[in-house]
Amino acid sequence: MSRVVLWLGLGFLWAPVLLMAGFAFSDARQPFVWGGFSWRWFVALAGNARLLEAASLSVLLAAGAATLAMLAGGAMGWVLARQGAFRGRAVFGALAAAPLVLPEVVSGLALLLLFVALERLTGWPQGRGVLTLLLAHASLGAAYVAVVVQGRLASMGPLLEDAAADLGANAATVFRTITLPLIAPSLAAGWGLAFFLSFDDVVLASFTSGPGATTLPLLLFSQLRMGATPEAHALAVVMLGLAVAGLCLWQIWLRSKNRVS
Amino acid sequence: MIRALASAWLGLLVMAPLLVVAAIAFAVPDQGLPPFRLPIIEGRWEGGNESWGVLTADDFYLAALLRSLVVASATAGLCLALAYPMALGILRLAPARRPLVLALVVLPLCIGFVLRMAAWVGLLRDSGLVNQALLAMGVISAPVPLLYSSTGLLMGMVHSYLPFALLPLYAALAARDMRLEEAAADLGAGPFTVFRSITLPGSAAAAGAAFLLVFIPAAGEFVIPALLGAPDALLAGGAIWQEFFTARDWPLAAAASMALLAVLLPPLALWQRLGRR
Amino acid sequence: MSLQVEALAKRFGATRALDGLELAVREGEFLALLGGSGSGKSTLLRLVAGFEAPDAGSIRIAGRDMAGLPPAARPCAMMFQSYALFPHLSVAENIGYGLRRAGVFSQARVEELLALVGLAGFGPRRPAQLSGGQQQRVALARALARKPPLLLLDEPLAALDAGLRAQTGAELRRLQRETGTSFVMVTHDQGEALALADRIAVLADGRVAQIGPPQEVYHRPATRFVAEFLGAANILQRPGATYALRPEQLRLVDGEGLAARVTGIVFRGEGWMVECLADGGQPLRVSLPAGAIPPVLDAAVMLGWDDAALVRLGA
Repeated sequence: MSRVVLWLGLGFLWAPVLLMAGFAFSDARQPFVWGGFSWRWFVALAGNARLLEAASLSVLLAAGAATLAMLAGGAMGWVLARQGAFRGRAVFGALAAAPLVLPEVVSGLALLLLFVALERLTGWPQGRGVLTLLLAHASLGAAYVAVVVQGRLASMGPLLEDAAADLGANAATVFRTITLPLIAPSLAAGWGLAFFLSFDDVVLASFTSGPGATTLPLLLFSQLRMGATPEAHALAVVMLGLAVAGLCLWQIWLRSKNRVS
Repeated sequence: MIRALASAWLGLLVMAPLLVVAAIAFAVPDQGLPPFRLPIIEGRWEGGNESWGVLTADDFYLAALLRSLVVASATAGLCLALAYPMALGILRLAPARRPLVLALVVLPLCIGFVLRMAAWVGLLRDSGLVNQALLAMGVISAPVPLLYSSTGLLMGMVHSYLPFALLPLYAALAARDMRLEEAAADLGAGPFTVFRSITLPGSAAAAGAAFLLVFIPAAGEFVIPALLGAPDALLAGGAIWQEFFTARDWPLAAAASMALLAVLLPPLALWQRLGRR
Repeated sequence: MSLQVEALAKRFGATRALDGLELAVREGEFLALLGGSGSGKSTLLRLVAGFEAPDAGSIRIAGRDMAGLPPAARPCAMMFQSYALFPHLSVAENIGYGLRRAGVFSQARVEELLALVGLAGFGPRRPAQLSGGQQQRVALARALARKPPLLLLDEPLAALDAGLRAQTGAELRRLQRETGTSFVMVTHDQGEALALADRIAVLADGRVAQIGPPQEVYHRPATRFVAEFLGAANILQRPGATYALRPEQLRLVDGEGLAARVTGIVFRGEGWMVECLADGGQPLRVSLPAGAIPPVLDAAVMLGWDDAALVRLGA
């Protein structure tokens, strides 16, 4: 029974994606219509300067937001797992988890209102653009990184760090030689998650982005409200290809790492 | 030192925004940029409750909120009904094959949210593939309006949120103590009794957490209803969006956000409790 | 003195883990801290190593007061129960970790330590590629690397298979002799403590109930707790005093004796344990050699002993 549901569920998840990708190779001008095989929409996609510009902005933004989120979220996870019962821990924990569950519309509105209020009070940040977008995405990503890192530290326990301290390492050395190498995979996973969240975000970007900072999802959202275009079909193929390639590279890296150690 | 930095980050980017929203919910709508007057001017309280009055006086907002909760419940319920057997199904597979199937669950996300929704728009419209297929098979004689209906909306919602219910449920079910089920079987329980008396009660908290993990963000969802839902059946997220971007009534949008948060607070608290177990 | 602990107290919430504990460990001594769960033995180790701060009392290692010193600054080393080997470092890097921190790293010293614990050539491996017994020896080499005057061992044999335990215990004893380091070993296993230690300290309720050489603690228990915890002695109440009587000191006799009935018989490999109920309602355990023919269940027997075997107990 559960296997039947599993394959049905996977079919449901994949059907629109595969259909989307399949019709990318159709010559027809309308989406989801077969008009014979053609590469023309990939050529059109490669020549779409606006889309490429938005995509490169999205990649840079996602990388920056993910890096910021990794640093902030890593610190949050470490504080939650290793600082014991300090004053205000409950509030700290609730604030760290809040972006995970707050409806995006509320988060987006709240961040925008904050940026406007800050600009009024201090003159910074000037208007909305890449910087505000970066902060908004980093604040969402940091919450995810914190969960991953906290989980890793909790399952690891304090024993290894105690052992290092016992062998004469001071707090900074314990962190550099023991804690950091052991949570590095979690930090990397958190970075990837934060990258994806930023790269896929429409709602936070709608609130906190300004003129001149149009991300790929924002551009697509404005263009695709009425449904897919043939170029969007081609883009779906590209994205799917990149994701599969990334997954394969990761697998190969895992295999080679396991063989070495 | 690290805690001070992390606290500063959370204070600036999580707590301060929520406090600002709460303050502006009491501000007075005004012309200009930003389109409101702060509730405190030179130390004097100049705020108003107008936004709250509008929210409560008009059935429009209450109806949107109720519709949101219904849609969110249906989405979370459908996700759970699919995700629970799917998670069990993955666990019945050989351990070596599980990562591949988990990758298959996550990969559809990778083409991007907007493209997936655009695909649904293309598939569900009257001339779309779904209606064409049903017509060709003779199941229907005229196109069924799927797009801009609750059917289309739920399709898109479940498609988007299913992985988020499945992954934590899978983790919880994978971590369960299999010896309990073996003990029950050893004591004479059949497969269904084992499931009903051991597996299900043992994973009820995880299932509840997965439901809420979908329910809470789904209650504020804006983009999917805007693309796939009926345009006249506005949801809470859409109402906030509209007040903000179209009506430019920022205090009212802030007040509506606070109201939505207040409604979501009990499920949020419950989710935190379930997650801690 | 290698370790001197005075009036040490530590509470966790409402429970007193240590309650005015006094302990002195001599140089080059192998001391076993024996106690049940909750006796405070692990807490004592964590306080000495510096992972927790005491509520009251003092700890001196090699004459130096340890108050306020972090673990890194204390001269003692600790061997953890589950070894706490760093999984991302090789065996050699694990052993060299403390040497590097002290700025005295040398490849030769690492090789020397590997040879000392019988793991020459295992340096480049990861801890996960070793057996449990090998991991235990890496942990030991890592703790001994900087030649600490005092080594704290938290249940060093508990994670090993029963078959490996005796052999590894003897190995511990040999290393302790060779290096001249003071060992303080926490254990809940009385056999381990009796076999390995120069002296045993029995802990109960956060204090030392008795300390002395194994034979003395075993044969002359000071309190009822020590008598029952070590060797499961029979306790006899006489007017004005309480006595301990070892099961192996009791005999089944033909003539005069204490009349009793057999309520249980257990074969334990090296002998029989016969549970009896004396006529006055006193339960008594009698141990018989394996070659003996045990009485049958419910049989009426006569029990005898030398009064010299009775050990008078304190409070």
